[in-house]
Amino acid sequence: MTHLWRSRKVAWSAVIIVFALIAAACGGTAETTTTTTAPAAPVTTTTAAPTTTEPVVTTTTTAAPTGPAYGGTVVVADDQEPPTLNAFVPGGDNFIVSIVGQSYWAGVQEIDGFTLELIPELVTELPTESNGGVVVNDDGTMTVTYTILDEAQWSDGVPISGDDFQFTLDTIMDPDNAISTTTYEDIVSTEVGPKSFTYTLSAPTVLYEFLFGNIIPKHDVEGSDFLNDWNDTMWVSAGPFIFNEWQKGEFIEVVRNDNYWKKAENGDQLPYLDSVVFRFIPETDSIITAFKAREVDVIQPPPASETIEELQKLEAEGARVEVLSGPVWEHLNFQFGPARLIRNPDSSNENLNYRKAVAHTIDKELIVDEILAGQVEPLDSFVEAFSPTLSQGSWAQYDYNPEKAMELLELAKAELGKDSISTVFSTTSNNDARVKLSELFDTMFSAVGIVYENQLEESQIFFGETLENGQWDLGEWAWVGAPGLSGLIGIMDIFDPNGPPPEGSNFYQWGTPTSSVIDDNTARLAEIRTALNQTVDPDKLIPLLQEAETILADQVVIIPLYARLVTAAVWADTVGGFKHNPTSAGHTWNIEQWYRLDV
Amino acid sequence: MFAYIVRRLVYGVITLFVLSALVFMLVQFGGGSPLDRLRLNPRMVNVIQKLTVKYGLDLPLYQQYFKWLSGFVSVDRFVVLGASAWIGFGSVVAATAGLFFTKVKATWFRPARAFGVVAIWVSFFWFAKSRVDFAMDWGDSFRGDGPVWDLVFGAAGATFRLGVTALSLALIIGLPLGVFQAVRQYSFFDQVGTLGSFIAFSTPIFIVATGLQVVLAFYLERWTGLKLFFVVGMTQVGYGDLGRLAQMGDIFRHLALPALSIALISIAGYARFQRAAMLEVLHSDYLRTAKSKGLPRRTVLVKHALRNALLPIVTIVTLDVAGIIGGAIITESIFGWPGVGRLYIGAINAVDYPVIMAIVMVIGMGIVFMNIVADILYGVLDPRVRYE
Amino acid sequence: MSDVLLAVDDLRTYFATEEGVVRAVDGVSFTINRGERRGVVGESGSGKSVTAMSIMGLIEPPAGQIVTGAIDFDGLNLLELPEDEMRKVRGGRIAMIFQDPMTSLNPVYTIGQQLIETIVLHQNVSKSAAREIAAQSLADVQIPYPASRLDDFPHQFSGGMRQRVMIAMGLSCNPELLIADEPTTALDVTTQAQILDLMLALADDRGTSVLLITHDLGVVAGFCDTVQVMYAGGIVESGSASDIFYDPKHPYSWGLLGSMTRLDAAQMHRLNSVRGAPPSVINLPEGCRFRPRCDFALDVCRERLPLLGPSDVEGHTVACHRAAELDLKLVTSEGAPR
Ligand SMILES: Nc1ncnc2c1ncn2[C@@H]1O[C@H](COP(=O)(O)OP(=O)(O)O)[C@@H](O)[C@H]1O
Ligand SMILES: [Mg+2]
Repeated sequence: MTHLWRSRKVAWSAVIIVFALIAAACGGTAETTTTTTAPAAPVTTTTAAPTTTEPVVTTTTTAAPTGPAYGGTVVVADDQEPPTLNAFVPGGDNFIVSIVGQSYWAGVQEIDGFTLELIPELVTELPTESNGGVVVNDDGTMTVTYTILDEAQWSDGVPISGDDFQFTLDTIMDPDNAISTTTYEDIVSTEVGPKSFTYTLSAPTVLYEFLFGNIIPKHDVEGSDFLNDWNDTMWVSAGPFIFNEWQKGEFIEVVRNDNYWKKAENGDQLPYLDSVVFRFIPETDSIITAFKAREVDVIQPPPASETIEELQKLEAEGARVEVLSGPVWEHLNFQFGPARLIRNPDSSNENLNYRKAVAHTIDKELIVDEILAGQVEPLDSFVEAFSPTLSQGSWAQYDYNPEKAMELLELAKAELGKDSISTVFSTTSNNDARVKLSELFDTMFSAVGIVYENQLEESQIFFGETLENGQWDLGEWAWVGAPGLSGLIGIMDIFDPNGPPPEGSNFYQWGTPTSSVIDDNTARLAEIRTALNQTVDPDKLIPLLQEAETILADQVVIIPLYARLVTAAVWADTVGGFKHNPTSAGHTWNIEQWYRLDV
Repeated sequence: MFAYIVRRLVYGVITLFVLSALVFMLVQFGGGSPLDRLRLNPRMVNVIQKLTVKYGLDLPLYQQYFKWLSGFVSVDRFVVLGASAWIGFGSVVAATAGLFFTKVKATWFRPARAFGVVAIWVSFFWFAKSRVDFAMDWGDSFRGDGPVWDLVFGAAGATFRLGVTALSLALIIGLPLGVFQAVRQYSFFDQVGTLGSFIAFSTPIFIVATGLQVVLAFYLERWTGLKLFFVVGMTQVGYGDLGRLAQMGDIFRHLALPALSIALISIAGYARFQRAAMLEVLHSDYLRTAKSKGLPRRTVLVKHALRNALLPIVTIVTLDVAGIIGGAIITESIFGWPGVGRLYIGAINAVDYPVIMAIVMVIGMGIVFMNIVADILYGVLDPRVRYE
Repeated sequence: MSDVLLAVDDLRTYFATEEGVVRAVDGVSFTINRGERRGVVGESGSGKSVTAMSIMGLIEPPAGQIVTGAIDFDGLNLLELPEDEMRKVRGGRIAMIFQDPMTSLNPVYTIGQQLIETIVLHQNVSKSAAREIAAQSLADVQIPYPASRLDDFPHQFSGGMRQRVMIAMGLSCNPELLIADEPTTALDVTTQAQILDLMLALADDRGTSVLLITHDLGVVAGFCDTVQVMYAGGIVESGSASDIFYDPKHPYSWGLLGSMTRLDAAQMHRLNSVRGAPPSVINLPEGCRFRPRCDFALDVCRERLPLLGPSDVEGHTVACHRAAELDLKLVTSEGAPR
């Protein structure tokens, strides 16, 4: 979102105004759009595995024997502002809603920012088959039981109970509330206790890990106009802070919850801070300037290399910059549906040797050097981006090898009976990295003798129409991955032969009914996907996931390229306890541990 | 005069109507849908369906437009609390009518009457504010932001504060600058002023804004240790706990830079315009007459020259209101100012039609209104002008 | 009544322009007596207005400079007078009326305001007294309903009426000298004489001397006691109105007289008008400035600038080398003695 005033949309809107109202504005380019498919619930958490080999600066949160001092305010800046505070209504799925929400919400699970492991929050332990929290019943259903912490209470002193869980479920399932009901809709029965909550799912699935990440207080919310009453204010808090004030367009202030139930490991009552202010500043440049001027303490700017360099200069003055590999992974892909011929009548995507040739054609190292200033390694598998320990690196078999690529191309030509092979590459034109990528591809493809053409489109068109209609030949964009088994199973939706768009999200149309590739592999993947969604035992899930990864790599359905960086900066000389979390938990995941060094 | 105003209003309404249709079309053809954000998430399919129906996105375009239009012109709530508001309204209408039927043949009367009418209406609205709950039915934001009316008018105050300050700055600095330049034509001061105006005029506003921000809010502190201005925001956190004086100081320290960024281009414009207008007046015959009467130079310049040279500025300022709003759109994002401009950019990025439409229409209405006000003002200030 | 009111001596007013120095008035000397009506004639650009503006002290520095000369007004040296003293003279003791009544009044003030402003400035009276004086002076210039018309704006008056207002304003403070710079040029012919009559009658009533600037010799002939003819920044001839009119001694005056349209159609086809265009006051010719256009020029005219000197008629001065020998009364356009 750098340089808003230069964005195309603004320019276009300016046309409207100038056109009719004689107002002024400037035009230009540059805009970044990320497509997301991540599990949607804002405070979702998932099984985690340590991310890539980024240099992670570890800090000691509870250091000196006396422990951190109490009091003070920390200012967090963000370029987005929540449309609403209510995560369960339209607009509530914005990331910033949960960034702020981390300060007053609580749920079953959260992601540890140091280990990226899933840890319990409101419950005594996360339910699994081995601890008896998850039971697969004989009738093919699955029962999950949460035991709520005794001390867990709302900020008004009311204990958090099973009723609140039931109320949360009812709210999600209320057809008036336009939020995703995925998995929740499979709950067939529930059982409510004062400090426990049990539910039964119609079929075994590991997706239960996602559920109940954000609990709603029944006693406060019941009887209110749910859709309208909680946009500008928040119900009683289960987290370290209480919503205090929202100056629209400016900031949200949260203040200490004196009744917070959680204590630090050293026994300190949490939180340390008196208040946290979230300031909303649309311009990235202004965020950086405000940070430099110490008007804000914590920022999470887009990881442009100039930004990172600029911030790293401040480290001498006491700032700390964390650059991590994030869960957004970019990939090159092929369209298998009939509409690709609209883009390129000569498309050869159905030919495996051609696709393998493409995999050998691209130089990922060069791409990473050019686009990410070599800050990370390219991906050998999409699994690497968010669950590296489960990754087999299946795409490592395709090294950068133009000779090999040319051999494979010859094979492909022979099989297809063509003299030459052409390709048309499409991606979003208002993303600088992708434009750069298209230029690199041009050189690489031409070098092996593929007739190459770029047809980039504005993101609105590309994501709005092209993708859904399957009207591209060779494409490139990003997905957001979530750590853990459930995240990995979730991502399999995009390869589901039974899920063509618009209902499903197999935009590649690999194996879908109108696809040009329908074979044993596509059939097997459909089977695997069905099995994945009915299995909860990790010992059975992992081999299935690995088989899927192998098929996708061997068949070159997609080619993972690299994971985008995420970055955060903090004035570490005045704010302690901060640790960036690249997952959907966000950088405020441990806000209760933050403290000021200067109080 | 009355007939003239009515005619202008009718034209204004027609203009706005055409504008709304035009903008609606442009927004549609601009591509994208407010639900695109959700579209690529497989778990959001049913949500998208629900919202599509809720927002009426499945209807044909012309139906969507008329749905929007009928909402836009209809009143959502209008509640008057207590009789005092009605009584106040009655008295204000009576007082206005009284003022207009009174005939006083003195030159000061017309401006005084105009001022009086404005003053009593402003004070009436001030009084009525707490007693009248009024809102138009402008629908809900597609982003989940809530009612568009509340959004736009929640942000309008901040933009108003910024715009009025910028306009005042531009007038207070720009006009005298132009006058002095004209009086000392070709002097060093005049040439520096002309060059400065040219530079200010040709520098894009985001460069001005970012420059002021970096230099005066960041480097100034770095060099002098003096924190005078803020990089972002409208108020400091904890503003409410400050004393009255400290609050005013805080407002100033936040307001100065964004207002100056917007004002700079207007300052340059007004100075150039005022210089030209003043020069023309200075070379006029009636100014020679005034001098030949033996009037002191001050009287000649202020009473005779300035009074005439200020007339055309009324039109310029009115036209410039659009420019100031345009400036605010850019500046608010840079300074994190919680105004309409920022809301507008957010709405554009989210393809939030109802908010975009509402803001464009409010600005359009403001400009139509300002034009009428300018015409009336011109009529009051310039005795030669009569509207039929 | 022959004591001198105004004495201008060797006045030189120059303007610095981009093209060069404009010698708009270059060595002008004359006197005006109390009660005298002096006419100033000359083609446009000859320096009439600049002379008047110099007397009024309205030459704007830095472009305009009075480089030398003296202006003595009733014993006051106007050129040395401090500005606040000069302001009392200006508009109070010397009033001026300009050419274009349509633009000479401030459009945004009522004429009452503009009249009262002058009166209050120069006469020690209250505002209400000033208003009465203002109404009276409007009545003097024969404007109907003067009291109510005070509240009207200039645009509500016709051109002739406005010039009456200007005259009222000029005379409202009973000045000793009234300078009227082409007061009727912009008006239609029928009102011209009315206005001049009115103005001069009012001036006579007050014993005000008049300096009437015009490019129209006919006007001078009808209304003035004495006349001075200006050419290219200097006076070329000066004398009583009848002397100049019936016995011009300078070829330029003679030419001007010829270009006066007389109703005698037979003579119309070729009158003894002045040929050529006035010289540029930036590059004045050597010697006599009129020489290039003069039908009677000799070599001497090329060499020396003729000075204004006495002629054979008492009080009639002329600046021409050949003034004594030429008898211009007899000369027709067809043949000039050389
Ligand atoms: N302010 C001025 N700046 C430069 N030149 C001037 C100025 N005023 C008058 N002049 C020049 O002086 C000369 C005499 O002008 P003026 O006295 O107005 O002539 P007129 O006899 O027609 O009244 C003209 O050539 C005119 O261009
Ligand atoms: Mg003149």
